[in-house]
Amino acid sequence: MTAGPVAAASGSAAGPAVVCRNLVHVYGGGAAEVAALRGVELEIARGETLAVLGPSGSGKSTLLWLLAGLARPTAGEVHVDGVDLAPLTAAQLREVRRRRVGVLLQNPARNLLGYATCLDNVRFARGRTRSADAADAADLLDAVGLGDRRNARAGSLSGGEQQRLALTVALVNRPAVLLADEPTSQLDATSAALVVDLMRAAATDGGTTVVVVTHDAEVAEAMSRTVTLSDGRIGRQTRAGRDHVVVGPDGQVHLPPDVLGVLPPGTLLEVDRLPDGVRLRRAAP
Amino acid sequence: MEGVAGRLLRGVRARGATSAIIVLVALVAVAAAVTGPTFATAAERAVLTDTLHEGQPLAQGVEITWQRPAAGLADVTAAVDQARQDSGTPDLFPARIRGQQTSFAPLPYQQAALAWRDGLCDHLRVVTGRCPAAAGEVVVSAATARLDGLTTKSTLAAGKVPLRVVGVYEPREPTERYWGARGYFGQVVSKLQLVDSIDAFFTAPATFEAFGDAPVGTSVYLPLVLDAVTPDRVPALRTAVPRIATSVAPSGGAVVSTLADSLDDAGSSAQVLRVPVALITLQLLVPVWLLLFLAIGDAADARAPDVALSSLRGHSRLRTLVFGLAEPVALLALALPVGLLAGWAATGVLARAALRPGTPVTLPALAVLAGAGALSAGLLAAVLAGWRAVRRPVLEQWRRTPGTRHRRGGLVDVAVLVATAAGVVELYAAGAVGSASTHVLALLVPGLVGLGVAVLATRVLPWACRRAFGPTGRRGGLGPFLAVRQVARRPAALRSVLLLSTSFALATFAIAAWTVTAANTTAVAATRTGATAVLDVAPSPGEDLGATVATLDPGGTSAMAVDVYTDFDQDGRGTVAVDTARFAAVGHWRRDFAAAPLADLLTRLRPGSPEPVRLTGDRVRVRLTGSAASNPAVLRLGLQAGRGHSITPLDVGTVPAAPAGGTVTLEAALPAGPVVLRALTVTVLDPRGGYTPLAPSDGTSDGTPQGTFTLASLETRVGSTWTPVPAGLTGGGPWRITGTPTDVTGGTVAPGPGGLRLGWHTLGGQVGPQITWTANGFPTPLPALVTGDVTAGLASSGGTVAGLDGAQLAVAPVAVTVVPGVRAGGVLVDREYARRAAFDTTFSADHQVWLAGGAVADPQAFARRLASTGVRVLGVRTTADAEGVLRRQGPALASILFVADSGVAALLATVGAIAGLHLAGRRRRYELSALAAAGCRPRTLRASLWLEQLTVLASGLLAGAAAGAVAALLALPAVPEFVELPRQPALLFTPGWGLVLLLLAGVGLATAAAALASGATLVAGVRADQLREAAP
Repeated sequence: MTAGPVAAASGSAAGPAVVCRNLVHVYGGGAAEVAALRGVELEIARGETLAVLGPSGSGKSTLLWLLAGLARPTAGEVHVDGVDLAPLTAAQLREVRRRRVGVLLQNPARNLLGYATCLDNVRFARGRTRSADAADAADLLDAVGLGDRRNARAGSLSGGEQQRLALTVALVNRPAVLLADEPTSQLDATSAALVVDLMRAAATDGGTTVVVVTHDAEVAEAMSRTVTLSDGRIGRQTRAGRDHVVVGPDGQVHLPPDVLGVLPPGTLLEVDRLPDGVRLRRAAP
Repeated sequence: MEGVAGRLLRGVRARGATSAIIVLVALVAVAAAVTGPTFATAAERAVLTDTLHEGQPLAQGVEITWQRPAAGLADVTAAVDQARQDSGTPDLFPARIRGQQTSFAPLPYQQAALAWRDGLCDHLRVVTGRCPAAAGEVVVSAATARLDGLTTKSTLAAGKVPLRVVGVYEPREPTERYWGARGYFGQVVSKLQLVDSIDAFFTAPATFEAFGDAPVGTSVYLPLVLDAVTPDRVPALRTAVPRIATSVAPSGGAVVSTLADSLDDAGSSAQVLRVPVALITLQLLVPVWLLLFLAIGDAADARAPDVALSSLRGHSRLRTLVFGLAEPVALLALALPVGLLAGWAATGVLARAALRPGTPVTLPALAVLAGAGALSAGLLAAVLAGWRAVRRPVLEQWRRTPGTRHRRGGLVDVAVLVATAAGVVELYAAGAVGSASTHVLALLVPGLVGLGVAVLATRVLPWACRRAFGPTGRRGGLGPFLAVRQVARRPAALRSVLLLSTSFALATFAIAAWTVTAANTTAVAATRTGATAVLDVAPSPGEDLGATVATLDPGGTSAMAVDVYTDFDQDGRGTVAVDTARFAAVGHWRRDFAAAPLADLLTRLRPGSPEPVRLTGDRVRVRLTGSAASNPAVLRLGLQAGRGHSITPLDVGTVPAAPAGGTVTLEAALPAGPVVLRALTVTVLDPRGGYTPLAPSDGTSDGTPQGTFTLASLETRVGSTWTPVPAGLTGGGPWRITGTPTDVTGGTVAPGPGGLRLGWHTLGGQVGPQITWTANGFPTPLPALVTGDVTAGLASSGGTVAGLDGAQLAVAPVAVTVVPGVRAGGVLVDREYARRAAFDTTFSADHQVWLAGGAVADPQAFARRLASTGVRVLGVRTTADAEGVLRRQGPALASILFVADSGVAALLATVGAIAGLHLAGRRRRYELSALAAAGCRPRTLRASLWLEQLTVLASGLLAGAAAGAVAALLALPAVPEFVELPRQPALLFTPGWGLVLLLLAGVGLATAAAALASGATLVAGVRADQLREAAP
């Protein structure tokens, strides 16, 4: 099996792939309002692989749907591949999804037409049926190790094979950004590893920015950066093995859980200003 | 298969059950829409052909006659051939049958036709001798040969033209079209022109060359090719007859044809079919449309994940819509040709059962359009559902529970109920409900009532189930607990109730209407025919049909001679003369035809009457005694001798009113042949003779001349022997005085031991007053059973009706509602008396032999026995034949179509409901598995499913049946059953509820069995490990 099939076709070569500024999204209305995102600040560079972590209900999937243009932010800005999604019409959002964004869902069956062949699924996603595309689609399937299953019904594939096919389908139009919602949660370890490798290859070889929502620590470690969403805000970030925290719009900083064990809430800290930041340490009693 | 087509096929296969349901429902919708117009087209053709085939020759062709002394055959032939071309439809009149005819008297008191026709010998069976070939040669019928004593050696003369009998014939088919409108055979009489009651003498055409300028009629009959007449050729055919008339007029030809009337009749029957077919088809399409709409909508909703995926991949709205519509539209497209073929085939089956054998069934353009239109509901549903899916956000489509479910508003139901009620009220105002007259819009009542009841049922059922929440929550087990909650909360169950209720309302009404129509058809056919089978016969003059029948059926239980006179001046009313001794066993009678029992009525019809006085011989002699008068007068005695309506007055002689001798004998010559003494007259003259008025009497107190004498004997001479005539002179005779007792000139009659004592009186000053004593051998007035319309007309007709000879006959009416044997009601009398009253002149009447059903298994066999006695049998009709004719008329055909279409719709609704319930059960597999895993026993799960399914199915079926029954009670009297409302008997409108209940019970049992099987199958597939699958 070879890796890395598709190079991203970016609409705007300069600038980050994803930018979120004070992104807010509220569900429901009246007494039943729920603020899923409370001012998310996030930038994702082109070609970066990002894992989004957080407890259930923290807003991870909401963030993904906003990036995919499947929902509209209540407030704030969201830019994908240089395009501000907020003012776009439904047709324009569809166009963004078709050209710039690929989506990979948690349930493999939801990514595919179960009754269609693997080849047909790829062609369906591409939206064209020229014979040249048939050959191209076959190559794509070969690249993910499904060359010999191209005429098999997608519903007859195993979970892992389906997810590999779904990944191919999501990347077929060479999107600038791939959004994946817990893509390995229903897979065994081997299949999960294959999918993760394919996503990384898409980033490194194709330049696709990959955003993965996951609970799986191994998937998170495979990504170049992790962010943790907590209570609708970006809290901890991990980059190149080092923990980072983000200063929120109101100056709040969310410490990682293990740090809280050392500095529990309510701890008085001394702030030492440094040329490139600050140093915090427990204040003397 | 690759690409879009391959994906489409795989998608259809993946959703096999739903796809099959869609194709099935769409196919049935198309077939139902196609069946109506296709059947109507075929029926129109069949009705036209039936009407033409059942008509008389003048309705089946054109007769052209030339009345010049002798129209040259060559000229006539050329004129006719030209006329056929000028008609514009020469292919419909390919043949011509020429003929010539004159009349002559074979015997002094007879008149017969002398004729020839093209192809004559092929239509005669020569029993002795040969067919005529040369001039002057004739063949004579076997009946005439017997009557006149003719053989192949006999010679006759038609005026100065000698004729030689060379053969004796029997006509092969006396009523076949070949003979045209000419009544050549005995009692086969065209009502348009009287023909002598002797069978025709047939000759060779060369015979007529000897007639010179004597009147010889030339005729040509153009028979229509009946089976080639199609509805689209009717307009051309209508103009053909006037064109032929115009074409032959210069040559002196005159056209006679009732073809236009036949075409009108066929058109009327077809018209009566078209509107009901349209109404029936439309009503039945509504539930089918609804089912198709719902099925397609469900199928489109089931594809929501696929549509969401297309949106997710960023496809345009249009592309996504096309993707979402592709499968349902493809299924609809598949259903269209299959449905067209299925509808065509189904119509073929229906046509074979209901229409004239051999009627072609073609697929008209209207049917194809209707079929395509039937799919419009499905197409609409697909577009609406697809558009809805396209517009729905992707995230919403992924939600496990759908968004806000819009409950059906009460306002919608109220609007539907109000519209339904308003519709029924409108129909009531239009006379389509509760009316004594028919109205085709009555066919809309079951649809309206069915829809209203269906809407109510969909409200009542969930309400009733909610009421059951409490009781089922406290006791009864888990099965009922689950069942009532499922029914109350699932809109799919209520949709099934709506469809079932509407469909079964239509089906129940259709079956009820069919039972009513069938019963009325049987009653009308039996009443019109008069008995189980009727032989139309032509007895020879002088033959006693009653005696012949008595010979063949001595017991009097199986056959009866009947004469029927149809009075076309009185709207076709009939005078039916039956053998009252046999009528109860043979004739058709129902208790509701009269208030009194039949036995009583028949007794009243034959009160007893003296025999007529028949005179046979060459001379008659009367002996008078005891003649006395009040003043001098001379009596001129006359006898009126009648043969039929021909009366020959016989001047017997003159005697003084008071002769010197006691006995006076007078004689007179009788006319040749048997005669009946109709009356005795006395003209009182003054002895001074001439025109001297009679002097007043000195011998009476008021001066009226008066006298008496006794008719002591009446004799006739045969050869040299005088024989007394039984004339009832001493008692029991038929003698009546004409006029009233208060007449100025009148008389008395009193039979006594010495003879018939006749008294006369008159006023002085009159010249030759005449007193008449009649000798009628029948009761006057004649007792008769009369229908209401006749009773109403008796006052204006002076209490008379047409007798068997067409002359007015005084009757003593007894009211009945029906007189069997005629279409339009009329009069039923005793045959013997009626024949006497017609003086045996009954050639204007139809002669029949009625056969009882149980006693005569094979009417044809009886007909052969009758023919062997010399009576010519013209045709055999049965009540079953008459029923068949009525069942092939427009309204009856519409009824059959209604039953067939509504049956299919009800079946489809039932199958759809069962399938829908089964599929819904399959979708609840996770829930059932959870219940099983929680310890719920399989039999409890089965009970729950069965209760749920049976509640839904039974509610729909029972609500529909009730609605159909209500609609039947409201509208059946107004539903057209016949092209023309029969004048008798009164139609009954009580449906055959037994059959309806039987069919509904059968459907109910089958449905219940299917539901039980479905529930058992569903539960059998429940496994706890299904919980490992993702929840739906």
